[in-house]
Amino acid sequence: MQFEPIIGLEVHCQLATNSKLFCACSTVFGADANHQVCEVCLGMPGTLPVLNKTAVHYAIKLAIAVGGRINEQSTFARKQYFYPDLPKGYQITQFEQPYCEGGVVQVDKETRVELIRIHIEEDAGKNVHARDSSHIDYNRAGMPLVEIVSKPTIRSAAEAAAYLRSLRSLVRHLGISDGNLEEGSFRCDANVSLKPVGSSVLGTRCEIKNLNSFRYVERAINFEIERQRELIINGMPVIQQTLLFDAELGRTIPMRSKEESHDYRYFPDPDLPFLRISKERIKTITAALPELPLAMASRIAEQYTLPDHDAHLLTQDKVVAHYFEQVVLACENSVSSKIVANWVIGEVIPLASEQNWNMSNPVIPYESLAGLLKLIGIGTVSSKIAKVVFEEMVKSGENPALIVDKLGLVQVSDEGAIAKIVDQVIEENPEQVTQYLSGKDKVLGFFVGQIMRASKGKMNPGLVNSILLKKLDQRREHN
Amino acid sequence: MTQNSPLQPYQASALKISSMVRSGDLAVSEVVAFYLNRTKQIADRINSHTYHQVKSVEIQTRELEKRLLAREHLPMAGVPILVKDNICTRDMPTTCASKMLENFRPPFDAHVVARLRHAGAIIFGKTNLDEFAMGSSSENSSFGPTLNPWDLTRVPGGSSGGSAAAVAADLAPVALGSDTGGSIRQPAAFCGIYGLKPTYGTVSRFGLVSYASSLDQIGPFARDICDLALVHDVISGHDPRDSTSRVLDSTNVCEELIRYEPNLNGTKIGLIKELFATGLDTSINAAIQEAADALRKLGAEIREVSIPSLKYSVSSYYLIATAEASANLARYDGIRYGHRTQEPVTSLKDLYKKSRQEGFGREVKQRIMLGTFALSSGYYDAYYGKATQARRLIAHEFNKALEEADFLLSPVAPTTAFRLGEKINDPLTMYLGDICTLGVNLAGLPALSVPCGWDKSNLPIGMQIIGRPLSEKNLLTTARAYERSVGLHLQRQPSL
Amino acid sequence: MAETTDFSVDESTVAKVADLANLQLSAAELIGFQTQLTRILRYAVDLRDLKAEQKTADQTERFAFESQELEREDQCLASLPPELALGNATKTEGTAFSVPRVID
Repeated sequence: MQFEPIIGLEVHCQLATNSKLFCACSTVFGADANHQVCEVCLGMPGTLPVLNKTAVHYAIKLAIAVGGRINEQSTFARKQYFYPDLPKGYQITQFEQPYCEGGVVQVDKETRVELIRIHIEEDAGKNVHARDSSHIDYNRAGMPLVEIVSKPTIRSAAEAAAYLRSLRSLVRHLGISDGNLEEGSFRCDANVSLKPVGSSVLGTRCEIKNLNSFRYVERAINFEIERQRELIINGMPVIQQTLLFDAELGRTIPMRSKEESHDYRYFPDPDLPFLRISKERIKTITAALPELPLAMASRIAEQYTLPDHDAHLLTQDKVVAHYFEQVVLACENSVSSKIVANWVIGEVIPLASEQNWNMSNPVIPYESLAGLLKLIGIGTVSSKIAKVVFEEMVKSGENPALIVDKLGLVQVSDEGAIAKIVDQVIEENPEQVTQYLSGKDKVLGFFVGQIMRASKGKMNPGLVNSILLKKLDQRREHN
Repeated sequence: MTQNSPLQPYQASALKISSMVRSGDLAVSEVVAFYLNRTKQIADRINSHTYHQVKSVEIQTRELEKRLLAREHLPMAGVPILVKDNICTRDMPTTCASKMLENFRPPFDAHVVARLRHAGAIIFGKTNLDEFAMGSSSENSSFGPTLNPWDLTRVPGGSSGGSAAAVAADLAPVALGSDTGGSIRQPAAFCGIYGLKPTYGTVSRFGLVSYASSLDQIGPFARDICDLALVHDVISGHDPRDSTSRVLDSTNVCEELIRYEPNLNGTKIGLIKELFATGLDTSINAAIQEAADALRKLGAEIREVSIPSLKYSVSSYYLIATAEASANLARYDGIRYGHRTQEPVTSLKDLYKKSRQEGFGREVKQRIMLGTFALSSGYYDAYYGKATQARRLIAHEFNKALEEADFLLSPVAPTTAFRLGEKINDPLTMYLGDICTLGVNLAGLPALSVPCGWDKSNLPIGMQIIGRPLSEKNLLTTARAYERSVGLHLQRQPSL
Repeated sequence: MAETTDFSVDESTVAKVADLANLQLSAAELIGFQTQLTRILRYAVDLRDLKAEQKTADQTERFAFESQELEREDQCLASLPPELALGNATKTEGTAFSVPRVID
């Protein structure tokens, strides 16, 4: 019997507001424990919630971007359970009437994932476990979240990861969240079950919580699919449970205690009136919406004649896309957009990720990169040498022309000088000459290597190639 | 003390005190000394206070004197006010008369407390209540019951019994209480003073320890109706920290009351038929009929109105209020504040259960149980769902009745102050005593308890006047008209 | 818990409710609450007479005054200093609140 995975994803995305959802405490990451709390988010007696306007604004932006149906009137509800990180003994969330229903996340040109709903809710605090006790920090309690619930129509771990990447890119493009998995501002839970192909009967599903990297998402879901498949094939039941992914062991393991079957006793929160979202408000926000990732990717592919794959990589982060466009402009047509794309994708993005650059103010500003690329364009350095220069630019912060000068990296394009070295290398290697002339074209690489070594790589490779070929052909004629 | 000093027992009014303090005819220290003395003599005998520190009063006095020198405008200059102990005060404990919050000191003032301080009032102490405001007798208190100044074997009413008893005994001219189902109005009636439950949303709940969020309101007690207005003017108004508080024009009801010339011509007053049914004390019925006559003489038209859905009010209230309360009290787990068990615990759940079991009294636990049940899976629609449906019906019928009449009139309670211990072991009977007041909270309307007589045992009788939303001014002028024509409230005092 | 609208409650339900509410009731209290809750619920049985209504009517009457601006500007204000945030707690560790070890 064949089984297909049924995967649904719930993402809790922290909104990048200045203050918390229901109080005026700061939301800055990394403060000392309980240094960003007040009587409201500590749930002290007598305190009341007041809704953050910008949090609502950001939530609306997201709903518009996914084309969801925004309810003009929605309610906040109390979800009641006891846990030390939940200061009031209930979470303020949305239950029966979320502010947004439906919606679609376009992953790429062919793939889309439909949503069930999006709602607004407050985050809980953090438990840190010691040996005999747990310590609770409420800095995170009360932070604004949107919970984005996909339909369980995702069919593979890879698709799940792709969906999450798109969603993350979207929230960053919209400027509503920094979508940082490691810092916990973008958290994913995956619901996984197996269904016999052709049947409409769903299997028991398990929930894998708190997946904090895209790689873990794929690994965890794949593991879980296999685990469930093994059970079913062996006639054993899949028990509904909540799981965590142990990255070291590479397996899902059951969570304990917290997730016993709960009666959350939802009811409308009497401290908060309806959330009203007027058509006017939606109109205003729609008009001010930034270019969305897929539209931007399409435009860049077309405008700069780039393959879709390149455009997709460049537009994962809109700040990077902007950087790319600035470099192209600054290059003033001295190099092709493709070359700029290659450099941004191949050199800048990986380095920026590794060294944690702020791409709005990167270590290599766009003018500097453009300066370097222009040097390639006019033949001052080869691409290969340019990479050396680039490394030095990152280290010293100096401008490329200066570095080329200082390190004496100016490419030799003097045909006479090149010819001299070529002659020299040809003289020194008669065997290889014979081999080449008898048809072994590959030997060319050997010659080029020797020439580059002799010239310390500074010779214009294009000229080297053409002069070498000419001289070798001359030999042929003589023979 | 000057010759014209109003500082005689049962003579002083907040209005007079503040006026004379502002004009320099009365020193703050004199006022304070007088009430400190009253408190020392009487408070323990009626067990009205949960907190009272001379030092705290002295510090406030000195600060106030500085502000007076600086000529700040202080509408309540030098007026001592008592605050029910479920309202947060920064420099005093706020216990809600519960072991759960025995040592709790909030790091903030309730919004109303901040307004009172700003107006120059002196927070004279905290008063006793039924634990977490759940009760109608002030017997459910970890500090023991408060006693009615008119008869020390009887209850002062609840849950704001401490504030009502203290004002009745003139330990302060005014006090704050809270009213969820009658907890200001009923003790006001039992103690023979005025009590106002304002329109829902007019007084901020920020800093009021929540019992039932959609029903709770803070309101004043006073022996003088202008004092009631004075406090209401100061404490009411929008608070951005309470999403359920309304944006309102600021009121100056006190001024208007002083200038008011009693005239009720054209005013239609409806007696609520269902609340004059059997079971009502005959002396209460008689007193209210007499009051109705007095109102008639002032020009009012008295008619009868019917609110049949009042038969659902006890059920509706006790399901909705306890449901909200069960959620509001879920935060008491001893982790961030409040009582934490010292017993050895085997797990986190054990910690919660022991701390809450030890911290909460019986009535509180019962209401948490009822509320949790009403919201639980499988029961929600039948209980909470139906109760909210009944609430809408009751509110609708009240509003209809207030189209036929400008005010509604009824008893505040079916009996006068009952004896200590009489109802405490029979919760349902205790709840049924709230029948006259609950509907008003469910409908969010303003209502005033007005002293209108005594029964054969010299126990006070109060009548309830209910108005349309935001009609506090009219409620108070009507009461003023009645008071000036009858002058009842001056005739007797408790003989302590 | 099974669906029932007979406006009464049995002991096992009372025990489950106490567990939900994290109250550790004694045996005597369990019986006591069962009696009291049943009396109260029996009194409330008239609520069953109310005929079902349209759900839409539900929401409109809450907060009749909702025309006012109810959201606050996204402004950051000073938080409580840790001494005050932690000042009422019985057990702390550094600037964190402390509980018996939670097993996840």
